[in-house]
Amino acid sequence: MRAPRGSLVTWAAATVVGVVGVLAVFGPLLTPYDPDNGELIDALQNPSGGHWLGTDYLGRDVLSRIIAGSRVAAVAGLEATAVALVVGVSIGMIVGLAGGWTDRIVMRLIDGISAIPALVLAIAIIAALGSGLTRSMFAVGLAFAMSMARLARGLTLSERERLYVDGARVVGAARSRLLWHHIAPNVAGPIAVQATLVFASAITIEAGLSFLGLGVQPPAASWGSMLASAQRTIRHAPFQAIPPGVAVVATVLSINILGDAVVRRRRGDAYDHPTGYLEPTTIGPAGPASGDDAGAGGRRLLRAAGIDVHYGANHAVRGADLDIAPGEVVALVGESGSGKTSLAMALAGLLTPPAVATASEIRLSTPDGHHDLVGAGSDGQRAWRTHVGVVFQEPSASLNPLQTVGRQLGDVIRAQRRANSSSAEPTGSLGPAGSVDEQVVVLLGDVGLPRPAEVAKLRPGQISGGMAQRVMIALALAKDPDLLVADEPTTALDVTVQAEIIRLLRRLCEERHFGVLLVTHDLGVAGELADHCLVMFRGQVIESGPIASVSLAPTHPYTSALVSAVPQNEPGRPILEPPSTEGRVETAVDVEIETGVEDGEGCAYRSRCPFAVERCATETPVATAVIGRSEGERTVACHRAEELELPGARVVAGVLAAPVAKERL
Amino acid sequence: MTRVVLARLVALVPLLLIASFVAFLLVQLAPTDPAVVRLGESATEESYAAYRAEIGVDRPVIVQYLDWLGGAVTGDFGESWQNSAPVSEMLSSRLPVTLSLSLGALLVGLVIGVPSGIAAGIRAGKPSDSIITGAASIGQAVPNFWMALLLVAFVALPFGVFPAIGYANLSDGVVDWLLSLTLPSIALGTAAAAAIARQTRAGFVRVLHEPYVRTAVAGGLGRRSILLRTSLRNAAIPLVTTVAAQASVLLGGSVIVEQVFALPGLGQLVLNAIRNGDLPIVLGFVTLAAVTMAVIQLLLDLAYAWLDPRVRSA
Repeated sequence: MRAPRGSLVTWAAATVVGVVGVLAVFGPLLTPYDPDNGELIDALQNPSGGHWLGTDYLGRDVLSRIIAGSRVAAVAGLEATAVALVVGVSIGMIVGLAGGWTDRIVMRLIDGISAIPALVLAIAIIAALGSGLTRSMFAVGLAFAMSMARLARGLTLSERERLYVDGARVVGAARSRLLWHHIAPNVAGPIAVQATLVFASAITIEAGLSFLGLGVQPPAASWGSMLASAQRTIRHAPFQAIPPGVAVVATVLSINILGDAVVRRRRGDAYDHPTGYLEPTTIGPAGPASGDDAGAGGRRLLRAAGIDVHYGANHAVRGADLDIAPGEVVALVGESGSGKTSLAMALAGLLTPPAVATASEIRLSTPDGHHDLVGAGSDGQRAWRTHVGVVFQEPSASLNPLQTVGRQLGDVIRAQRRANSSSAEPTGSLGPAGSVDEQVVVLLGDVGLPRPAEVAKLRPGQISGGMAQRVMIALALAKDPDLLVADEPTTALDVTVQAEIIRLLRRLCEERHFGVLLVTHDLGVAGELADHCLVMFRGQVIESGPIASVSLAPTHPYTSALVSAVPQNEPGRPILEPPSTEGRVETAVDVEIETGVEDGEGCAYRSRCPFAVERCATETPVATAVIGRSEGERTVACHRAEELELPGARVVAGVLAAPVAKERL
Repeated sequence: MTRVVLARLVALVPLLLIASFVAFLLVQLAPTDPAVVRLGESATEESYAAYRAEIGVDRPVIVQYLDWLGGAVTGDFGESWQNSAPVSEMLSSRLPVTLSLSLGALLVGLVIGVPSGIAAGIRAGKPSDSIITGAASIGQAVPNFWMALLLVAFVALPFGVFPAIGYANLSDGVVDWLLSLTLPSIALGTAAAAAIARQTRAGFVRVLHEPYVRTAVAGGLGRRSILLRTSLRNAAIPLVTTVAAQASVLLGGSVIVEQVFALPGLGQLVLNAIRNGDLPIVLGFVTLAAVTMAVIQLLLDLAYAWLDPRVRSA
C-alpha cells in the first residue's frame, strides 16, 4: 500500500526534473515569445490565451521567461555542484588518505570557514569576485565544498580502516591506485546523494542571489530575478509572484524527492516500519490445534500450539508447539537463525513488524484465569504482558542510556500497579509494600546487586554488563510474573558473569516457582537450568523432551551434533578447547547465509545430515512421539529416528567450572 | 559542566581566528581600490596614494590583518571606505534587527517544527504522518523570499494587520515591533520548521527501533509513556545539531528576507556595501556572523549537555 504511492510520487518527481531538463536544453526553441524583450503596451497582463502566464511590468511574456529561467537554474545547479564536488571531494579524500598533520590543519581550516554561514560566505566571495551568475555560483560551490570535504574525508577514513585497503597497502599498492580502485567506488554513493542536495540548494540560492541582484543580471531571465520584478508590482499584480516561485519549488522538491528515493533504496527497509518496537504485531488465528489438550499433562501454565512466524518470504517459525507447567523451566535450544528468538518473542507478545505470526492457541492459565494471546489487540497484549517478564539478550542496549536504573524500574513498577488495580480480580500474590522507590531498592537487592539504593541512581553507562543483566532481571521480576521469558540471558556476558547470572536465575526459579522459557544456543546453559528442552532447527522444533533424556540419548542427528559440541565439565579443562570435530555443528556464520531458505519439501537438515536418505529430500518429517523412551514425553521429527544409534552426553554449563570471583547469592 | 563550557570556549578561539583570517584574505582578493571608493574616479593619483597610506592598505597583508584583529577583539572593525564612519557602529545599529528576525524565525521553526515532528513521529506510518511529512518536504523546498512575497501579496496587503514593509523599533512599542517581525519571521522560519519537523520525526523513528523501547513495551508501559517518557529526550538529542545548522541558514537567509520587507538590518547594509565596494563593512559583517554562530553553537552545546547526561559527566 505504501510502495505504490511512494513510487508514484517518485515518478512525478522524475517527470518534473525531466521536463525542467528538456526546457533547459531546448528552451530557446520552445519559448513562444522573446523572453528578454516585450512591448510596454502589453505590461502586466493577466493570464490569457495569448500569454498563458501573463506579462511582467515590461510586457515580457512570463511563460517564456520561466522557460528561459530553467536553463539558468540548471546551469547554476550544475556549476555550483561541480565546484563543490571537485574542490570538496578532492580535499576530503586527500586529507583523509594523508592523515596526520595535513588532515588536522586542513580540517581546522574547514571548521573555521564553516563557522561562517554558507550564504554569508557566498556573499563575501561575491563581494570579492564581483556579481554575475557564473561568479556567484562559483562562490556558492565553494561554500558547499566545505561540507562536501568533510563528508568525503569521513568516508575515506572509514574505508581506509577496512581490511582490504590494509591488504592492498601491504601488497604495496601505490597511494593513487588505492584511491581510485579501492576507496573511490565506496565513497561515490553517499557523495552522489549529497551532490543532489547541493544541486537543489544551489537552485534555491541562485534564485535568492538573482533576487538580490547579485546573480543573473537584467534583462536576462532567472526565476529569482523574475520574483524581484514581481516585487516591484506586487500591489497591482500579485499573480506575478506565483509562476517563478512554483517553478523553484517544483524543481527543488522533485530533486529532493529523487534524492530521498535513492537514500531509501540504499539503506533498505529501515523506514518501512517506522513504529519500530512500539507496536507489536497481533498474532492471527490459525486452524485448530492438531493435538487435543483435554486435561493432558496435568496443570499447565502455558499452552502454545501451531505457531508460525514469517518475515516476508522467510518462514522463521514453522508450526511450533510448546507447553510449560508452573515452576517448569523449558529451554529452547538452537543455533542462530533457528527461529528460537522469534518464537520466544511471539510468546512474550513482542513480535514487531515486519514479522507476521499466526497460532492455533497461545494460552496462559494463571490463578486469576485464562489469558489468550491469539487475536489479542494492543489492550489484550498489554494485559498478557502483565503476566510475562522478559529478559533480553543484550542488557546494555536494552536499557535506556539516558535514564537512571531506578527510574526505568520505577516506571515498570508503576505500570504494573496501575494494571493490577484496574484489573477486575485483585491478584493475591502481589502485595506491593511501600512506595515505588522502596520497591525499586528491594528488587535490585533481590537480584543480588550490592548497595541497591546507589545502583538505582546510576545510568546504564555507569554499570557493568553483568549488573545491567541483573537490572534486566529485576525489570522482569517487577511484575511478579507467572512466566519468565529469558532470551539468551548470558550470551553477551563474560564467562564469570555468565555463571553468576545462571546461579541467580536458578535461585529465582526455586524461590518464585514461575514458569520459564529459556532461549539459548548453549546446551550447557540449558542443562544447568532447564527441566525440559526443545531443539529448533530452521524454524522447526525437531526434538523435545526432558533435558537429561534428550542430551544423554538424542534421537535426531542434529541434537546429537549439538550435544557433542558442548564442552564437558571436567575440572581444569579449558572451556574454549575445541570439541571433537565429529558431527560438529557449523558456525553461526554458515547458518546465517542459509536462513533465507524458503518452504520446501523434505527435511531442512538433510544437506548437513550424515544419515540423510532419499526420503529425507521428498518428505518433510513431522514431530512424532519417540517409542520406547519411558522417561517422559519425547518427540522427534526425523524419518530415521528409530533406526539410528546416536551418541549423547551429559551436558552442563562449562561456565560454571570457571572460578567465580565474588559470590553474592 | 563548567569544564565542558570552558573547553568549548577555548575551542572557539582558533575557530574564530581562522574564520576571520579567511574573510580577511577574501577581501584582499577583491580588485576594489579603497581610494577610488573613497574619493571617486576623478581624484588625483597623489590623493589616492595619500588615502591608501592613511588607512594602511599599502602594508603587507599579515600586518594589516594583525592590525585589524587587534581592533576587532576590542570591538573596532575599522572604518568604512565610503564615509569613514566606524564599521562597528554601523553593524551594531543594525544587528538587533537581523538578530530579532533570525531568532523570530528560529522560534517559528521550533514552535511549528517540533510539535508537528512529534505528531508525525508518534503516528508514524499513518495518514497524518504522511501529510505532515509531505508538507515538510514542500516547506523545505519553498525559498524564504518567495514565502515573503506571498505573505506580502496575500496577507499583509489585503488585510492590513501586519505591515508589508518597514520595521518598528522595540522602543516604539512592543506590539508594533512584534507585528513588524511576524511575517518576516514566518517567511524565514518556514523552511526551518520543515527541516526541524523532519528531523524530529526521524529522531523518533530511530529511537523506536532501539531495543530499550522494546524493554519499555515489555515492561507494560503505555504508548504515551513510552513516547513521552522513554523516547522524547533521546529523540531530541540529534535535533540540537539540526537547530545549529538551521541557525546558520537563518542568519544567512535573513539577508534576503530583510530585502523583501525593507527591514533596516545587516542584509541591507551589506548589500549596499557590496554595490559600493565598501569592503570593511563586508568583512565586519562576515566576522560578526561567525561570532554570532559561535555563540549560538556554544548555547546549543550546553543544551546538548543538558539533554544528554553522558556528555556532562564525560
